[in-house]
Amino acid sequence: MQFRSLITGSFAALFLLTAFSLNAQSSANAIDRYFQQYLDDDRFSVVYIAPRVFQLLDRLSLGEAEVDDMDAELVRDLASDIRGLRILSTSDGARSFYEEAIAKIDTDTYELLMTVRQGRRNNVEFMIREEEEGVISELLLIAGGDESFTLMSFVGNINLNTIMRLGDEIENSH
Amino acid sequence: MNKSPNYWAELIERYYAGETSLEEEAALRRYWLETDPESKEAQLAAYFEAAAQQEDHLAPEAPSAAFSEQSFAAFMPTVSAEAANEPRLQKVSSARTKGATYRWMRPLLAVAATVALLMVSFRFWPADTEAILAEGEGAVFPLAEETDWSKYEVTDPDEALAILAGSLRQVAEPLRAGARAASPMNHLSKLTNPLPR
Repeated sequence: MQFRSLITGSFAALFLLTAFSLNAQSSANAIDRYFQQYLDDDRFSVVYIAPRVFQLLDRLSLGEAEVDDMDAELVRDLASDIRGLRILSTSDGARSFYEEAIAKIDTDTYELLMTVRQGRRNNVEFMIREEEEGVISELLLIAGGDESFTLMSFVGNINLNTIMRLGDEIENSH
Repeated sequence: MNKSPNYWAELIERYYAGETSLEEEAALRRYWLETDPESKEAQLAAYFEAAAQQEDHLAPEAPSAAFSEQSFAAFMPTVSAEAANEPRLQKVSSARTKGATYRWMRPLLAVAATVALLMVSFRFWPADTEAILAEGEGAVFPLAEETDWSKYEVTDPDEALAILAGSLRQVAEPLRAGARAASPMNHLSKLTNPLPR
């Protein structure tokens, strides 16, 4: 009797764990499928920077690279915590792609951080994904308007304060 | 033992249906031995008590010997032929023998179930989490390994840094603008929320 209960309990736990894992995976993959869907579409420009390149960036002297007038220390600071970057952008049918991306984002996985309207019809949405409380593991930028659409995904340990400071530096340099 | 007759009647029914726990069966054996030591059930209970004691003293390497058919005859000579042929008792004896035979398999089954659970967990573990834990060993994006990114992969560190800097600029500017636009709201929120005393 107890053995039967143990087996039943184990199967129930296994089922719940599997269901939870599948759900978490499918939620996290929604935006990945979006990338995958348009990866080979000629209308899109695609950039992918793999984790191993970010490891090389840690050792790279910023003096050798073109970083314009940005604060090199802030960029290095951010680069050391970023583990991956993907960019998808197009200027064809930008509005519809933007709306499609917004509709596909699972709000259980990604939390809306901010929506910024630039100009009349150009929106920028920032979404974040937290693996644990207070630690942003992914920052998603979805920018779209009549002229262009950009989907950008930074993965790693994202520090928003450092990005804000970088924004200050850019503004001061103008 | 201060249970109602109905309780024992129900427990006996469940016992013969094979639905009682080990604790309930132990209580039932004590009940039979105390209330009617001459009954067939009490004799059988005495057998199981004796067998359980014998099992406790057995060497670990021979656990299954306790409930063999031979040991039944050796340890329970007082059970009459009539009692041994009683269908209900035969059923219980048979179930007991089978239960004892498979008891040694329980730890193995537990280990097998744990291994299966771990395998299934790792199989369905969210790939992005796994990748983040890998800290750059592989792809950090869930479907990156299933997708051929090589055509679009930036491998030159200088170029990667320039792209990263440009991307961060693209993020930083609207983020800063949004935060600045929101700051009067924060100020207003502080004014409208009284300070805690």
